[in-house]
Amino acid sequence: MSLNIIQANRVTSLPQSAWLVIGVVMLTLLWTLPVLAGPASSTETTSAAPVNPAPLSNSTIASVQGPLVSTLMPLAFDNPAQEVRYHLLLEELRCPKCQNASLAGSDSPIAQDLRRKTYELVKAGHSTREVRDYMVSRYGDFISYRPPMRASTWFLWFAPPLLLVIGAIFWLLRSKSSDVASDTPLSVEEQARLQLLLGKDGEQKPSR
Amino acid sequence: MSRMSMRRALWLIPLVAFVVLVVMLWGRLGRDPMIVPQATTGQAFPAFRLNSLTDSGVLTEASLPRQPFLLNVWGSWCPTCAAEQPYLMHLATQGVMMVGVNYKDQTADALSYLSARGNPFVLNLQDARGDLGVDLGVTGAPETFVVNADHRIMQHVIGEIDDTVWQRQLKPCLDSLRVNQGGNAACH
Repeated sequence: MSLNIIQANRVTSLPQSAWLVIGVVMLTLLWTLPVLAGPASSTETTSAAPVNPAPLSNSTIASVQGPLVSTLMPLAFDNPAQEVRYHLLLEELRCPKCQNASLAGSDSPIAQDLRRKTYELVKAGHSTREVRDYMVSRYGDFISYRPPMRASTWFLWFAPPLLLVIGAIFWLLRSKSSDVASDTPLSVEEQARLQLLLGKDGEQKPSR
Repeated sequence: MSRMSMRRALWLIPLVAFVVLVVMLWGRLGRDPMIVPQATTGQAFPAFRLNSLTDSGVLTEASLPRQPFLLNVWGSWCPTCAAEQPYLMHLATQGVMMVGVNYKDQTADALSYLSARGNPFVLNLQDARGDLGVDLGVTGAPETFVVNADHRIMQHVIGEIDDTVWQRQLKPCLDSLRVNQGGNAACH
């Protein structure tokens, strides 16, 4: 009876491990693709203008003071794509004063200023990457919730998939070793001992 | 190594991981978790074109002093600025050259603030929109920068200036810049 269970385990363990491998590969790709594809995304706009913007005219936004006015002011964009990029940037960029809130989620004065800067840069045709670089050059990597891919951040990016791979290997080795054990038939002595143990307690003891 | 002891060794992995985690977390316990952006330190002072707060002049980066100086970002709306103002006045009497950036403020409020508490600044920039603030990497007020004679940002201090900060950070940095034009060993 116990042999049946072991065999059933072996039959199901093969497709399971295949699925596991596929899952690990997919997750690793999902995790790293956005960054690996990062440099290519700079082609999304064709603007060749330098990031350092020309002195911004006060006419775009009248010199309004006070948080409510600037927050509630409707923003005009040239096209829907610009608006989408603007809102994605507000989610990705961090308010430098608040430690852990995005520009979209903070109403501190500096977050308002950086929202306005983001709007002006996007409206002027700068790419997402250029806006990000503009912010990073002033506030450092801290400003972005998307850490850059470089030698010092490899661990950050690759540790989670690496741990997953290590876990998968460990799991595969374990399930394989139990298969091997089931293939070797019991010797006469072992068989006798098994009978003894089963007969003594009336049930199978857990193997050591 | 037998199969059994190999298995035992594998079980040690979680324990080791746990100990490493405890050591890492313990090391950070009680420390200030505030992350201070310092990206503009070491950079050239950004170009600007701003009105003077105290007269009708227009100031640019060329108007800045040609010697090491402190640049203080303040606002009449900022309680911590009011708290450090007496110490800035004290530094001014000691002959420390200071440039003020009136940050995101109303002209009338800023002028009455200066007339009530004194004006320790040789130059008063009016950054009503906070554009210079963004270029400097300012997150709020008060913040203080040490700028060298070549108009390069050498130090960025966030928060109130008091005797401790002056003795420990600002003064050593300013002194090293005065002694040696290129030296910035004491600026950190």
